[in-house]
Amino acid sequence: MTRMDNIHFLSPCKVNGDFVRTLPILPTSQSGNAIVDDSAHTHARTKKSAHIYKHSLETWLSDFIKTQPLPAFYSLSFHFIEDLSKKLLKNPQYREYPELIALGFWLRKSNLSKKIDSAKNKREEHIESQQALGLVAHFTPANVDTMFIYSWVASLLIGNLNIVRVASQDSVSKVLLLELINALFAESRYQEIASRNVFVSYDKLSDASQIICAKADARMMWGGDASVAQIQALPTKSHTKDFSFADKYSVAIVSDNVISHSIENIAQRLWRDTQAFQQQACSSPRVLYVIQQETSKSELRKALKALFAKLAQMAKADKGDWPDIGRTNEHLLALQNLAVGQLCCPDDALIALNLVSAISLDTLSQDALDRHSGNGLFYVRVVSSTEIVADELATCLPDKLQTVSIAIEDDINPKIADSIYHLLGQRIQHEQYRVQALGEALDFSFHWDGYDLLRQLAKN
Amino acid sequence: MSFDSTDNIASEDPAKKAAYEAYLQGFQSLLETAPFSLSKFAKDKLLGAVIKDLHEYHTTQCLAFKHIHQAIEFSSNSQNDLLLPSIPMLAVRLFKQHELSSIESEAIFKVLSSSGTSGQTPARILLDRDTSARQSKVLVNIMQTILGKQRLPMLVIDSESVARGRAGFSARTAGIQGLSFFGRKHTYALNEDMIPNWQAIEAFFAAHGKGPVLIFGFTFMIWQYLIKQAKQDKRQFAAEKALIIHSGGWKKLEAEKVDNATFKKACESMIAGSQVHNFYGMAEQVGSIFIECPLGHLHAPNMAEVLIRRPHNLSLAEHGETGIIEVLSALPSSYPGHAILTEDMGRILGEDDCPCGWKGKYFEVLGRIPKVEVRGCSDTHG
Repeated sequence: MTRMDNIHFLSPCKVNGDFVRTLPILPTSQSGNAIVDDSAHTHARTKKSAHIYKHSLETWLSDFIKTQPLPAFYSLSFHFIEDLSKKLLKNPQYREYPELIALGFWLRKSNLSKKIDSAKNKREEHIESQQALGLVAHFTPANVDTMFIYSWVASLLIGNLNIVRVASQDSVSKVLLLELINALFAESRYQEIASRNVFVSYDKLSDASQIICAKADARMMWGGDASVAQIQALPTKSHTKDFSFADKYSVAIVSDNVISHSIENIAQRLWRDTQAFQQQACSSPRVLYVIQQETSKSELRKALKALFAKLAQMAKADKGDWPDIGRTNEHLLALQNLAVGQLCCPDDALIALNLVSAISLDTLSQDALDRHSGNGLFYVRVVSSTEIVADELATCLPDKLQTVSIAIEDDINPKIADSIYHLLGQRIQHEQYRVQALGEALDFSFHWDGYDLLRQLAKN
Repeated sequence: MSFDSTDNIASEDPAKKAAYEAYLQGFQSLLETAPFSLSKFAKDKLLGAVIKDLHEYHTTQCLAFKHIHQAIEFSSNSQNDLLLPSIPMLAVRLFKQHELSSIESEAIFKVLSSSGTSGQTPARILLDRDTSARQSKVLVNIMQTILGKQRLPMLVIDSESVARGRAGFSARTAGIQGLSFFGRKHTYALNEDMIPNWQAIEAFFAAHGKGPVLIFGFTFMIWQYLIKQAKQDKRQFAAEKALIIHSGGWKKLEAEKVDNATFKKACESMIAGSQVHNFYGMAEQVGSIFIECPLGHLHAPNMAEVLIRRPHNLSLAEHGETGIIEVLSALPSSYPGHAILTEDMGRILGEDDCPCGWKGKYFEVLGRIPKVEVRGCSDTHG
């Protein structure tokens, strides 16, 4: 039986009528990674309650699910989100973490209502009259460590009870975010939210997931295919809705003249989509398609080298861990691996070897994509037409395609974007991919991977 | 042993044979030099030519190697006139992911598996008779600079079964067997359970302590299973001269705040007459080792070179600048391991001017490259 001591409550939570405020996550250690301070944790435990030990997760959970869900689009939920956004944008301690700033902007009142409106536009019914599903269990990914907040916000807006299992690997931005949420939860005006939303962490070998899944009305499963399959295998109630966000890949498309004419602009937008989460988010582009129409081969190569030199500069100037010492060595290994597997161009494939590296491929293949682990590596595909791009995306793991970001320069080549949009529509059967402007690949929307979250997280 | 054998080369291809013979000729002339005698430009010319020959030879013999160098041209190397820094290198972990071979499978004489960090697949290094013989020969030359030509009574700080490779031919076994050649009357200091066999050690010093002795073990083994135990059991020994040769890296000792100086001191207080020499070498380049001179500096022998590369773009660093260590070796013809980018950090202390009198570069090793997160989507549910 899973006992409470296997679970770290990362947010204040009601156990046996008392609020337990265990905050096992403390500020950063020297290595830059957050640590779990066992002494503080043990102290909180011993002080708080011998009885916590006696109660199993099941007992706590059966109490928790008796809590009445909140109304959908409840004003307090909006206040809370607005407050969270303001704190993220105002407090200087978050400034070094672009993913937190991006989150702060995304949660701003104006943006949030835009996102809700755009989700509404796609259908007839009034989402305000929706009812919460009940308990939503979130299993969040470790590589994109603040991503959990977006899907949680969707569920919060609908009024569900949420248990968010946060991966045990800690990053500074994740710790800061949880600390901020905790500080807000501690305010009495947010008590209604705090008592319905719980952040936990536990060892993945623990049987806590099984116990939570048995009671969940919906499961949000982020992570790799294997992680998702592991959670999915756990039994649920018959009506439980599953949302799986498994392995995906994303690409960016630019035309040769866009690179030549606005190299700085392209570099900045590409970097924005790459920097956060070490290029490991599914929507970060890993492949850069270049449509070669006007530039000669050698000119284009020169332009690409200049583009990646700019990206390397941005990586070097990054205040986070981009300038890490081992990164280029990882790229060297990855490039040599691709070459051994004959997965890159046979001749002269190396475009850049630096903090951001690039290698040109003859064709996009599953093998090449499987070997990509983010960290600032670009596969470059130089092609002569948008048809080739669409053909390739339609044949190489089309089901895994997530975001296609396009550098649309109105005055230069709007046709490319149109053409891609239509060609992909014709050739790719599913509607889980999306087309975004370059630089906005990581912009979350309530339609994600084919799910309409605001509708599907509510009762039908 | 003969070094002009070309038995394992597909003799029907004269170009390959010629490439191999060109390499052997250069190697022979290097072999005729005293191990630490070549200064900067002479070394770049002689060793550079040998390693360039090796590069070209492996390009014809190893398809994977050929593909790599066709695809990846290093531009960051061409910044100076020296030959050695311009030779393309392989990432050391590539040997863990691919079996890179320049020989027919019938020619495999020994397979050396490097000790992988836990959880990693160990590298498989394929040796033919020629490469293996070359490794022994070069190791002898380098070690004799320190040990002299006499074979000394030898105390091995490990168990007999590890030394004999009963559980497989690991890097530990390879190291012990390579070094055992320099000793006689081998005594194994540890029992199978890694507890010191004090009786055997006592007997060793009683019998041979009046003259010079050779003691060899891996740095961590010596510290963990000999020195710490000796301190605890209050054991001390003495020899007229105890040459302690050790290798294997400091990673495990860093946690205990044990550095080279502490290690040396501890050796001296346990064994009177100690003279400690650490050496640095890769399982991927057995034989051409970097050994400490009497002043405690690691030196590159004529058969090998050390280069430091800047971590962010792998360009060549200045002397004194900390970076990633690249090692080059004139030895391997059975696998393309002549130029390897390690995952160790280090810096060059000087070149041709060490007060010990040895020529070439001397340097220090400063630990491992900090690990970057390479988790992909597949390990997300951490």
